[in-house]
Amino acid sequence: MQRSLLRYSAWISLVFLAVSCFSPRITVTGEQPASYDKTLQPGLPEKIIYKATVTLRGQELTGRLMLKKTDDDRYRVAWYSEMGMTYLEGTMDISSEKKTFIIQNIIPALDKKMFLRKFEKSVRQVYNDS
Amino acid sequence: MKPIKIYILIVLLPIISFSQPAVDVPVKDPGNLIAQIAYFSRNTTSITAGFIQVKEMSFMEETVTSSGRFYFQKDDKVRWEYTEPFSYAIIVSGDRIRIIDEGKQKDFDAGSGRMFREVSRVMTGMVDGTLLTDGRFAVSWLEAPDYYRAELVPVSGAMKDYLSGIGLKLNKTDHSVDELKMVEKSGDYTIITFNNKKFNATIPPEVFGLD
Repeated sequence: MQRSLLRYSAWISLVFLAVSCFSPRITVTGEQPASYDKTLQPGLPEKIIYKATVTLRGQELTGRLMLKKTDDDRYRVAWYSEMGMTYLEGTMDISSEKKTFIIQNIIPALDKKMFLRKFEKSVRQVYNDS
Repeated sequence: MKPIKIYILIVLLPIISFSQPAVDVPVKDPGNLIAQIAYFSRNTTSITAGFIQVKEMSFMEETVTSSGRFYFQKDDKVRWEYTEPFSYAIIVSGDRIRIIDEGKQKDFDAGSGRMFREVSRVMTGMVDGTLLTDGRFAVSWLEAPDYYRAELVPVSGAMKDYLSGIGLKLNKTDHSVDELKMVEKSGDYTIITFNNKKFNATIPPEVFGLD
């Protein structure tokens, strides 16, 4: 009964199930920007989309990491899955070494201090290296 | 009222009336509709379709679009593949899962851990139709002249923490899914629109091949 609906909808649920089963032990890695829009200021891109993978106890959670510059030189940050699920959103001062990540929205399974600390550090490092 | 204003009103009124969006109304006989969907499912051995995925991100003030292909083969084979703007595919064949990310593939065995046992359970529920009957969703049925709409609200389980609901638009002719809308807790949503659907066509085995 209703299999045709479920064929599609269940795929979405896979992402949530995967996330819900992870522990907060993590490492974060980033790769080359998937897109790169230059701004008038050389070296300060308006928007970057990275391919990002988070590894939690050997299990990988993949997605896209978008950084978008705001008017006050901070960046809005969003990490979301290929299938459209937003893992987290927030704002960050990329140029500062201090903790500046302000979370706007995050799924409960990732709302851990240790994860967020490493995530912020990794985003800053990947950004500075690219 | 001046004649010219009356004339404009007469000309515009039908246009305004017909341009109003259709209002969905409750399906009068959901049981009959469900029976029709079940008939469609029983007689469908495979599905291939293209899809366009549009994700609205209000906080980022961005719309992210991607597209790809969807394959289903009874009883337990699925391939969900993005081709633009990146290459990413998830293939499920029985208890085995493969993710191909930009050409790099990783295989998982559903018996190897809690996560994949859960994935396997969802996949089984998808194929045998038990996912909606296991109490995770409250389902309501609506219709408009061109489509049926199923509103699924998660009532238990992990999905309740992440989703406000899932909306499915069904084709009134063949009862297949035309559009899927996934609404997150934040209010952001992703709409996946399916196109060029083909039913019961032969799908090459290598599409689901994990060897």
